[in-house]
Amino acid sequence: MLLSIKNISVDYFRGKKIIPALRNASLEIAEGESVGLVGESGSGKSTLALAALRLISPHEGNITQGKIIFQGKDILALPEQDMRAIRGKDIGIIFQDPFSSLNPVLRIGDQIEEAIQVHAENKLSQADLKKSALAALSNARLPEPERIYNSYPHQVSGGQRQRAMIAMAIANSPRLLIADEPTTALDVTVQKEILDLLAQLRKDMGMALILITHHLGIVSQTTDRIYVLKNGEVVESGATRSVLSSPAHSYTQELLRAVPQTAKVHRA
Amino acid sequence: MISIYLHRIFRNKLAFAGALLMVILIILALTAPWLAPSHFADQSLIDRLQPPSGKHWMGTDDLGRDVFSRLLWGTRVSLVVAFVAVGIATLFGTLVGLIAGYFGRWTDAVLMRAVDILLCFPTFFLILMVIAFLEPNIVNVMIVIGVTSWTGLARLVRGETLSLRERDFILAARALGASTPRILFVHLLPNVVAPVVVSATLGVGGAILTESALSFLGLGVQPPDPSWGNMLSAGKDYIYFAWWLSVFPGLAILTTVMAFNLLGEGLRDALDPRS
Repeated sequence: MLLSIKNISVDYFRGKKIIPALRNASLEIAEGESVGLVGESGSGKSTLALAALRLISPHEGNITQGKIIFQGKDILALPEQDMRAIRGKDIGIIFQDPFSSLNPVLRIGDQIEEAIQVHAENKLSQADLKKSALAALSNARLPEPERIYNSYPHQVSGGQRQRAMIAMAIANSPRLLIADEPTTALDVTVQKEILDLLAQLRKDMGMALILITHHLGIVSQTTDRIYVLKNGEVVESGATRSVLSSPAHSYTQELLRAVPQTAKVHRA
Repeated sequence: MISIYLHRIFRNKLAFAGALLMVILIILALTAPWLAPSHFADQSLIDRLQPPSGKHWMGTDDLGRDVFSRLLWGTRVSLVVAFVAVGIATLFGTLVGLIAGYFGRWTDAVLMRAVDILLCFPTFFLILMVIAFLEPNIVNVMIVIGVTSWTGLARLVRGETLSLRERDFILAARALGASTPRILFVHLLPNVVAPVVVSATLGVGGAILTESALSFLGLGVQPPDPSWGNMLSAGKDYIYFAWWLSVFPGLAILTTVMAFNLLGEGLRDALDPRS
């Protein structure tokens, strides 16, 4: 297993109150596999992704129990420095909103170069950095990588911004890419392009992919297995095709009914 | 992006006037030794207390020194003191604000309570007290003004940081493996530059006033070094029959403080994303 999350529980703090976000959630993903994580808003999908990268800020919440093993390393026991070496290098992540996930005052090129430099063993020359950044941008199938490289985030479109985010996430050829609702904030026409791009990159680079979404139509096309989350618990999991064709849990059935007619849900 | 801001500043006539005055003042300060008709300490007892004339544009003081020359040299002192003091305050305030805002919890609590305590002291009397213990000279004045005027900026930067740290791009930067110092100085700092620049520009005006007041009280820049404040102070004894000794340094302070305030407010409008 590339990543295995076992019986993870996460609590969030709201003032004095403690709100459970995940309860005994488990997830496994093998090298090169594509796994979907579905559920409604607030079901704990994003929390699971953040927990895998140990990115839950201590002032917001904490992981109360469970074990996370990535490439044989116990994530929850790693020193912060080793954890940083994994983030962005072995595990890349893309967030929902490309409008807010890029720093507004830095050029896109600078941000991609930063992602590369942070994980480089030596100080890279400006020319080398630029070459790698431009390569990452073309890998994300951005037309005119040179222009995007020199642009600030507000100067490019939403789809291009999300591609720039993808370029940052894959710049260090991670083994696992987590895409947290990568298309939710985008136009419908751009959504498919982004999903196709993710599928293509996964194939080309041999990455594993965790696709987080509330849209069953999306996972049906792009994932091998899915996990269904509800109120912080995994209520159902299995091969995408069988879960979607014969859902065992009432919540999954409910989610399936919630898919609009026009979306082609594969029910083989 | 920068060109948009420049355009906005130039469109605002008052801010442009402020910027122009600031540039002129800096040039005057830099070229004072060549521009001034005489050295600031050159005395000519025959020419004591002469009113403004072709030879002495702003008259002479009680020791026969050329007021215009002293005023030009004084520009240096006033600007250097103000810039260095504001530099110290900006460095301190930004750093404390960033750290308090980003780390939150007890770090924030400790730093902000320290700020609250500092704010309880009337700043000017705090400065007077410190100067009373130290030797009154330019360096001490700069340091004291600097370390007593960073609190407002610290609060401002802390507030900005509190909201910025919840933004996705900070999470994204952490997810890419960026270290804490990197997040603070590469990702957060550029996002708070606008309010910091505005606050620093307005702060220069305040620092010039504080320096003048201290020098006026004899606790700032010491004679014979000319500062607008100690020139005012020396002129006050002759105010009934030698008006030029008070009016010109007073006007210099007025114009300079106004220039920085206008520029600061212009910058605030220009850098405001809502406008």
